[in-house]
Amino acid sequence: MNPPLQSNWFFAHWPTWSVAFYILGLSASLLAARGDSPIVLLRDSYWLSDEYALRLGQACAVHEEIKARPTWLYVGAASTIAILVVLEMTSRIPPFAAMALWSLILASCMNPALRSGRSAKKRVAVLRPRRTADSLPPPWLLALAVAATAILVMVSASPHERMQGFLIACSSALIAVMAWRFASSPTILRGNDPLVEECLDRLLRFYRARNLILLAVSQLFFFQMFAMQDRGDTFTLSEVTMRFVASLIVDVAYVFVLFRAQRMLMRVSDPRNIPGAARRSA
Amino acid sequence: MSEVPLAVTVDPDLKTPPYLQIEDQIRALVERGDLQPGMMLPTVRQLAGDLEVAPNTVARAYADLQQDGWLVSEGRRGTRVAGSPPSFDKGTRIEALRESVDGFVNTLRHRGFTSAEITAALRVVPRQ
Repeated sequence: MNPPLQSNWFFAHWPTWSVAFYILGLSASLLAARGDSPIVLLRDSYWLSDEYALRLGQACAVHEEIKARPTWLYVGAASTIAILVVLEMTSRIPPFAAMALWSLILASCMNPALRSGRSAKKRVAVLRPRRTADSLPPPWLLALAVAATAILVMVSASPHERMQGFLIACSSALIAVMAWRFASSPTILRGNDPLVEECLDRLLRFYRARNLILLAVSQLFFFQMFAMQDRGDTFTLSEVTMRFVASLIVDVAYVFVLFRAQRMLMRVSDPRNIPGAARRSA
Repeated sequence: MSEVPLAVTVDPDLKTPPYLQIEDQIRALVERGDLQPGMMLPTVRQLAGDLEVAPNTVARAYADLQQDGWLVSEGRRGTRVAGSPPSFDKGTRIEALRESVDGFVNTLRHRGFTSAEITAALRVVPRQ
């Protein structure tokens, strides 16, 4: 007779399930979204004028033409993520490593080879200064740096977690570099309607940089969540306090970035903040 | 903010070098009043990246325009349209027009057109 299933077994492996669901759920949504959310927000806005909506539709069509569609990249990423989930759930690789690897894979996919489709003979640029900070505000990077430092401090007292924390912090830093590079990359315009094309480029640039930063800070958040579970009996009161404070800092940084990013997304997608996009009267 | 698409293009198929294409377009935008005095322009690096040209190309265009008084450099803060660009000086504008027409007419003469033919063609163009 088979022994009865013990619910303890499920909860003992909770971090494994959580990471697996996190990886599957978020990667599915991010890969499916392909970074057009601010366009949907803008297009569906009551304030958008009919004329601008038409121009936006045309600019989106042009952008789709220019944008390289590396299907192999998405298929490869999805397959690698699936393999990663299986390896993680069968305990072949630890959850933190799966999370770091997954984040890096996804970050690389979210910044696909946009440049390769840009071989138009005539090159167009809008004469408007562009700041990287408009797409990637420095406070987000600061919050990320604080959270990563808190993780490093948190694991400093625990030798078996030190390497894990270091790897997660490195992964976050790499993703932040990718976000910065993406936010400061050149525009991709065809020149049919430079003003709307530039607006589209600005929205997508912001959205992709935002997604990358959210990815970087969320892996720190999940790491501290699991690290907090494993307190052990060997920690002194001061060590537990330090872990608690560090964990709190990571939580605050996570909520700060999440909240600010959402607010900014709403602001940049509002036609009333885009020159010539809003309808004249309500 | 302006709704006018203040864009510049670079066409590698043209015989005019890219730095001159950039120069001519910026000058024209200032002359038409689309680029207002004091307006900030993109950095050399940004414009070079967007136009897929070497930074030196844009730097040269900016330098020439600064030398002619169309733009002013503000060091690390960037480049602005000059407070009083030469286009607002009527004498300079007429002189620039005369120089362009002279160059154009000379090219046509080298190609064998007579003065009467050129004058007749020029009379037709404004009506078109």
